[in-house]
Amino acid sequence: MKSVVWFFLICLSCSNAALACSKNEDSCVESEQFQLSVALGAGQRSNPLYDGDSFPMLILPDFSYYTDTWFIDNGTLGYSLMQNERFAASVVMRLNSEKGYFQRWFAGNVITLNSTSAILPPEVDTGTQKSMSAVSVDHVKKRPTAVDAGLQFNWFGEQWQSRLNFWQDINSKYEGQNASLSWSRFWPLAGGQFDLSTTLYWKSAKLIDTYYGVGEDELYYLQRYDGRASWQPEVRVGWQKALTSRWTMLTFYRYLHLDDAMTDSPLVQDDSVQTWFVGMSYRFY
Amino acid sequence: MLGLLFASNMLLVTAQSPECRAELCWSVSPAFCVSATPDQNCEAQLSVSWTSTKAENLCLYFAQQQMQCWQQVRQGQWQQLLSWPGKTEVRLEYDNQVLLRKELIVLSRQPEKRRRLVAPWSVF
Repeated sequence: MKSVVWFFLICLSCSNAALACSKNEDSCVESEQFQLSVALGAGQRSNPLYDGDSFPMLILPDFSYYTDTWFIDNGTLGYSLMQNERFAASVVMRLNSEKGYFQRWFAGNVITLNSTSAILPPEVDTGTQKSMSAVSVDHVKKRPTAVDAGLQFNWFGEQWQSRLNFWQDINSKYEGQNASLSWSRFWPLAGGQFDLSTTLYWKSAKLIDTYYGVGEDELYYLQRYDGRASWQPEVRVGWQKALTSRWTMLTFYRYLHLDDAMTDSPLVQDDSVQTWFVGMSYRFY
Repeated sequence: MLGLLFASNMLLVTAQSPECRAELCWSVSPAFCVSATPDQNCEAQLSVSWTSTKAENLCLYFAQQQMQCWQQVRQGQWQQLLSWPGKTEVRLEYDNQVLLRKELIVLSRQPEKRRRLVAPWSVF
């Protein structure tokens, strides 16, 4: 934790060397100008839960509105406490995305690409009592809609960006925290821009327990699980190429690895979440 | 009085009204420079003139650079073609003491952009 504080302090004192925002148009927005792009194509986000529906991505929005201090960007509401060419510190708020695995409409998509069949999970004999080693998402209680608030720190380089987030549940739905540290690098490739991002997520035991735990208040025959804190590394690669001022080719692939704290849950079938998309985006504003 | 001048692709706005501190008055022009884009330098003939009711020993600074000094005179004038990248200042100093200070502001016709803080296409 000490090193994080030092890193933060060092970057606060970074020089304001000219790193003009216009050098990388994709990461810059005009102040007080609503920005909306919509991508049409094919894509999907897998669902690691038993009987969890994968998430079809045929229409993908990208929207933002920034003032000098306030911003809303793809579901994150924020207020920048300080910002310069190299660094920004903001207070942020958003809906926690964990519920999206349990309820498809939660993430805003209404189109169904495919759905897994409702096959009952296998049963195992655990000795004196019979319990389900795999628990269908359909058999557990609804998971809560949590609102997270926290701090976000952004660092900007010539061809890279880094972001650190600390989140706290503020409506007492899981009464825990989560955090993430990401680093992204950009390269010109085939007339477009290739990007590589790595992110490490940390989710507190209370978060994992709320969403992936199976407690005594669930059906008696389900296998119990007390959630533990989880570390989840993610890699994302993407490529996009502007064809005109409004049309852009867009593709990306994201691989999120789920550790034992997740896969030990009887609700979780897979040890990864994979997301991909190929399409064309149109910029309206 | 505001006047408009063209210098290369920039629109310059001159501000001639004198500013005073005690018996020392000066005027600096242009006070504003409007550039086409935020990262474009401002290039202008910068003019400074000052008067005082008593003889002064003064030095003129542009940003951190000393441009001219005067010894025991009641008025002075200076002008030079300069280029500067953003907000900067000119100062009249006596013995390292700032007597008058003027901020030169660069405005852009293109709206200023700011860094996007959330990853694009990250709704899902």
